[in-house]
Amino acid sequence: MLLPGGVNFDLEQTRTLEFLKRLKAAWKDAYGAVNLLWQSATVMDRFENTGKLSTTQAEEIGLVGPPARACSLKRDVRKNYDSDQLYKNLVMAYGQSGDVLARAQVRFDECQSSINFIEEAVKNLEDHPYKSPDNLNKLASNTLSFSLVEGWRGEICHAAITDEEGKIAHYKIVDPSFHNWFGLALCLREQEISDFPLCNKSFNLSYCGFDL
Amino acid sequence: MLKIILERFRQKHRTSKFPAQSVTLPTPYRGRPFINHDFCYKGCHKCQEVCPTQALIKNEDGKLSIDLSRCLFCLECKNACLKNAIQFSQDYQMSTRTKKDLVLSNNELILAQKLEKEILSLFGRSLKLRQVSAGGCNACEADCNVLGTPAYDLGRFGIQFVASPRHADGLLITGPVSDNMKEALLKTYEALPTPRIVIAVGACALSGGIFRDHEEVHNGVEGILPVDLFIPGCPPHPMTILDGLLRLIGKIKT
Repeated sequence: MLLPGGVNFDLEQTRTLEFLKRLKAAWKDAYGAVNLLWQSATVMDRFENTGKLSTTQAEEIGLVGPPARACSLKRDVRKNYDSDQLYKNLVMAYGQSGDVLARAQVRFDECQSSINFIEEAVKNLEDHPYKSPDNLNKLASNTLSFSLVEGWRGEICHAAITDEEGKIAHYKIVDPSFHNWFGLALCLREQEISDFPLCNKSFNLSYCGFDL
Repeated sequence: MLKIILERFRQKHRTSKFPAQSVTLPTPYRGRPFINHDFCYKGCHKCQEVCPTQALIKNEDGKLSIDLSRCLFCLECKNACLKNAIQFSQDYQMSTRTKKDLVLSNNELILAQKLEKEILSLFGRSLKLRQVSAGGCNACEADCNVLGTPAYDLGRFGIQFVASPRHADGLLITGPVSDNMKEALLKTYEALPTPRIVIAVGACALSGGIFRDHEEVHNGVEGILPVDLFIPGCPPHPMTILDGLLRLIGKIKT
């Protein structure tokens, strides 16, 4: 699908319409299923006040992504560095309590706002070339460059160093889970062992990535 | 309670009828490649020049073959070929029992045969797998994970991913086996009770993939552990993985 300098396929109108149709159906299912969660007293009892992190703790350990936003931290690359105003209409989701419930609610709200964002973006797609790998031959030599991307788990940092000829000499990616594992460890303090699976899934961290 | 029943009723039964009914994948999917040897020039090396993983090989006679253990299905070779000699089909069935079988030259692929009789009698109806991501990027892992969802429902075939190697009959390995993960991988294998099987999933685990010959990786599982099933792709489609697993336990025969 993805390739250096673009993507392998164009999103033509027929595919766009099919995509939007499936997205709508997926949201209907997710909405129906997640609403069962909120209406279930036993689930809410387990979610509330479990695996709590304070805003100060989240800030101090450099938490990112939905767990950070569940602690009311306004931390999102899309909003913090939106120089092109690409995300000006994106509605952000924040929680206050920093517990499992807040993380679940932030995720649910983000689903809704992501779908709205995708629908709008896809409808306003301009006719640009979808592939331009030739740009890759124009990298500056002996340069360090880094960029931040908001992935679905949070902030991803990419750093690249080029050599004499402008070829990539080194490339390093820092995964959001790298920051957030410590958040999971912290929120489990003084909690019951049976809360571990709940908290683990509520952070939903990566076990692989390129950090190992 | 009533709301749960209503929502279940609305969402209906989602599990596919595979393997009783065949599955057709949508057009952007690139499956098993085919080479039209009549169109391929002996002296032309355009496809080989653009292939990021050296998956295309020409023998002394100039006959082209594709090594599926390395192929990323990126279409660079197809786009570079002036004569359309390389085409990618919608066929997702590509798993084999040996790595040698993955080299396509005459467009013939010996798909995975079922396990040997004795071991099949143990694992044929219940196969518990431990997944190890040995430096993977999470793409193969995500496509294994999706097999547990209602649409594929891996559990109905008696196959399940388990949380400890002590509970497992086999290892399912993804990633190019980074140096940092090698020891953990070997320890996990040692922790498995015998008899045990090993399944390698994705171009990285099969050959090192895009990381091949990097100083930090071991170019895949082969040479480190004995592999019983090779599932190619970058990442493989969940159907490719499911097809491979079912062939291994004898639930798909053709």
